[in-house]
Amino acid sequence: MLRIEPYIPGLYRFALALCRNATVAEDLTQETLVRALAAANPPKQDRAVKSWLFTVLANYWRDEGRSARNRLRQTASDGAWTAESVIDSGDGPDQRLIQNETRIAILSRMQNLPERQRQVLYLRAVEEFSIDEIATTLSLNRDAVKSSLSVARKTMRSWASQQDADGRTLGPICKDELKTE
Amino acid sequence: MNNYCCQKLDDFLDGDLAPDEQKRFDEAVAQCDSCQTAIAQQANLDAALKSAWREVAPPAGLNVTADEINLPAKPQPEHAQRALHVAQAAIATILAASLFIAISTMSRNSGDSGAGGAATSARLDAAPSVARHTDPLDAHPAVITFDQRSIGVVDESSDDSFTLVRVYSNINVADAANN
Repeated sequence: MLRIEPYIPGLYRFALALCRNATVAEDLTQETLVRALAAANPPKQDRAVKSWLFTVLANYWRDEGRSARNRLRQTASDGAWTAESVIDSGDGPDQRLIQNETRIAILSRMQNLPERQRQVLYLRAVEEFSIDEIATTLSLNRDAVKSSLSVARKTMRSWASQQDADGRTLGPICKDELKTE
Repeated sequence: MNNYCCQKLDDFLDGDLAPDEQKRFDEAVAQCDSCQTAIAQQANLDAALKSAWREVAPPAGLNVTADEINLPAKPQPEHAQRALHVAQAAIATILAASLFIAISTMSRNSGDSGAGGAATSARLDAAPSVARHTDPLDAHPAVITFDQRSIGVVDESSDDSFTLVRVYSNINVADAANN
């Protein structure tokens, strides 16, 4: 039996990184699940299933994304993505609030990168895909992936340096993250 | 950016350095403050990005759909296997009977037409019709669908000789519970 449920959160987040709209991201994810279910020969191994599902979603966005993009233009305010809309910045311990502010800031900056750079950065940093897996998923050659990733990283590092200079360090959530890994 | 490590920084971050390149990179980066800073900053950023994205939860509806999708999607193999055998036997019988009738008719017509022999031609229906078969008494009924074409075999030496042969193709057996 094809087990795709564990990958749904990652697929939804990847869709969000692509289209920056919660409503369209939900549709993209839903369509990906339907296509996966209808596939004649899905892969068997877990890692292959994950990579394959992201490929299905990326292909759908590339091939059918025009209608979704038109819809985005027509309903710009319906489901429009903001980091604040997906991360709770409300009540909670002070430390948690600081962490969430940092999360919102870093997601907002990433979502302002060009689409290609968002795709490769998400797959590398969040899903920990290899360069070859990213190339396969996005139907790109290796050099194109490395080039986009390099620019995205430099932009993010430049932004982080500015944050540090302004006294808004990324420290707290990073330390937490490294402890749990 | 003239150091070896500065040139190879992205390859290092991508895990693309060969062992000898890695050794050279490690030696160079030990002397390069900017690369040390960039590597630490990138590790921090990657961890922060992962942490931030983990806070983004998919809508509840997607999880419900996942439960539905994880249900077995294919018919039970034993039911499908049994139904397929029944269908194959039935269709083989029909084909054999049709072929026998056609050959008998053509032979008879050929004999009637004398030493010159019979000229025959076949006409195929423009489009196949699709038939379905179900057995409601079966505890696990199967639905068998197949294309059904009729071929008319005409003896052109005779005005009134015409034999109808039915051909079945695209036989498909599915568990009725999934239809």
